[in-house]
Amino acid sequence: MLITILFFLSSGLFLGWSLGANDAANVFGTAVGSKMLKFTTAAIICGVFLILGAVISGAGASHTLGKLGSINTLSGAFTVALAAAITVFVMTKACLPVSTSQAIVGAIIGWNIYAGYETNLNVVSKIVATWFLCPILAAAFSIVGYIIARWILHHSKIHLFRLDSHIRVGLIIAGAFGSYSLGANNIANVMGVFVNSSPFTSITLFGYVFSSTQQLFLLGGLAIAVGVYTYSKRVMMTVGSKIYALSPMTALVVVISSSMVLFIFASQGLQELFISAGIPPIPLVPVSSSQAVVGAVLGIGLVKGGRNVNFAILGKISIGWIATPIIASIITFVALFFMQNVFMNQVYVPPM
Amino acid sequence: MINLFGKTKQLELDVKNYLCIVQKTGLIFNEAINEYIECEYDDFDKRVLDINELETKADTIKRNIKNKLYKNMLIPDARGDVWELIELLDRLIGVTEKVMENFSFEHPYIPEFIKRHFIKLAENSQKATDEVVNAVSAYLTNFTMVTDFINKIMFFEHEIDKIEDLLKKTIFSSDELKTLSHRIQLRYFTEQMALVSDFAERIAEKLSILVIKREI
Repeated sequence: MLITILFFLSSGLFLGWSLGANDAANVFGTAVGSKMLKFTTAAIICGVFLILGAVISGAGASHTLGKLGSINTLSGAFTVALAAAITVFVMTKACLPVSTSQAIVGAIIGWNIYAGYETNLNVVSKIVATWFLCPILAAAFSIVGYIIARWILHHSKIHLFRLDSHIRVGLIIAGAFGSYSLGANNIANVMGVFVNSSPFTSITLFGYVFSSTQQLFLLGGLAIAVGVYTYSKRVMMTVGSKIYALSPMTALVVVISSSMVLFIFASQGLQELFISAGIPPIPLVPVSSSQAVVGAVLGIGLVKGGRNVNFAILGKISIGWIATPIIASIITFVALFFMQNVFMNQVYVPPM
Repeated sequence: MINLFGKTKQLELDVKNYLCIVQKTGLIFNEAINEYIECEYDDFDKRVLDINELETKADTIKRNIKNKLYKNMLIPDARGDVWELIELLDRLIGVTEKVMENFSFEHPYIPEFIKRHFIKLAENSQKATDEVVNAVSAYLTNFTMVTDFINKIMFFEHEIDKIEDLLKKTIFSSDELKTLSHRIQLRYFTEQMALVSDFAERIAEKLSILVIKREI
């Protein structure tokens, strides 16, 4: 039984592993790539905070994915996650910009179409709006952050060596915050599709109820942490050195800005605060951490006068917004067909 | 983390001490040349010993800085730049020491009519060295001021170039100097003294690039 459960969860765990291997570089790449922090230290901090973020704050974004399509069998969830993973792999091989968040949304829509469930267009439009908002918000944050950092640098008369120490500490704190936000926001991509068919039951530990969803998220968080530890070093060195070319202070602004965006799109507390203040709430949706980083870097490019800003990259990203979900839904549809008719697994419970 | 801040503070102190030595070198150089011109050779020789001692002290601090920068992984981003600056400052100390040693070894005779030019060269070299120290300190603490100090270094370097040219012309056009060898020796010392400000200029040029890198 346990082996069967683990087999069906494997596609989600694989997605988690690849997320850890790739996206950890967005939060700790700068610190590790610039040798300000040892990889092992970064991987431990990243892994711990990713798991905490996933277990504590992962429910929000996952709930939105649930509203898009509630996949009601374990083999259906396995196929959807697998199709999303294949989409990411195929598009990466084809050198097309791709995000797991967009692949999973496309895959869920593919499942809706196959199972005959209606796709809530209101939810789709909210999700697409957040993809659009994600780099814009990151750019806005980085513009403000850059202006503040520049002002501090020009007026503080801080010694270069001391500034360096502060930046190093800042990168560790920002990295921890970024890891927490990444776990909270992106766990939905990894385990969100399994929530409705979770094979676990709630456990009470020392008076604390550990729900089946939290157990799923813990497992997903562990998979991400394993991805960070086993495979992210090279990505961190590459991506980190590219981002780092901006300067350590700018890199810190980029990490904080993109982490804030991930946090905003994952925090239920912040959403409740917005509602109580009468401000339209921000939808909790998994967004791409890489696109948030691109937005933040572009923001700094703009505030520096727009020179050397490669606007073509925005065009490429927007192509991904359309192409990824379409490709993912087609692959899912085909995969579900095979799963049901070749491997004889029930991939959905028909609508009433 | 506390350890990191402690090491950073120690590194700050080492660089500060190093800059103090560079400044002292400039001051000693100026005083020593004045004493030489005034034929106070004993005092001059003491100055040479002083500068040798300072150079040894500078080497020890330099080694400490290198260890802290590279062994303890301090300031990974800017350590190459800081180290390059320290190396250039070391060469500035080295050149100053060499010029004084050459005066001590060769004992060139400085005729009365060009003494004031040599004094002026030493004075401007000291000012250029002072501004180098100010510029490097500003690079570390208040980089918006670096350009002002660079301009001053360039100004003194230019002044020295003018004095150097004038001195060379005077040396080779004067009837008071009887032998070609004496003229050549004086020209050599003129060029040697101008080397101090040439190194100051090299540091200024390096700083003008580094200051752009410090902008975020």
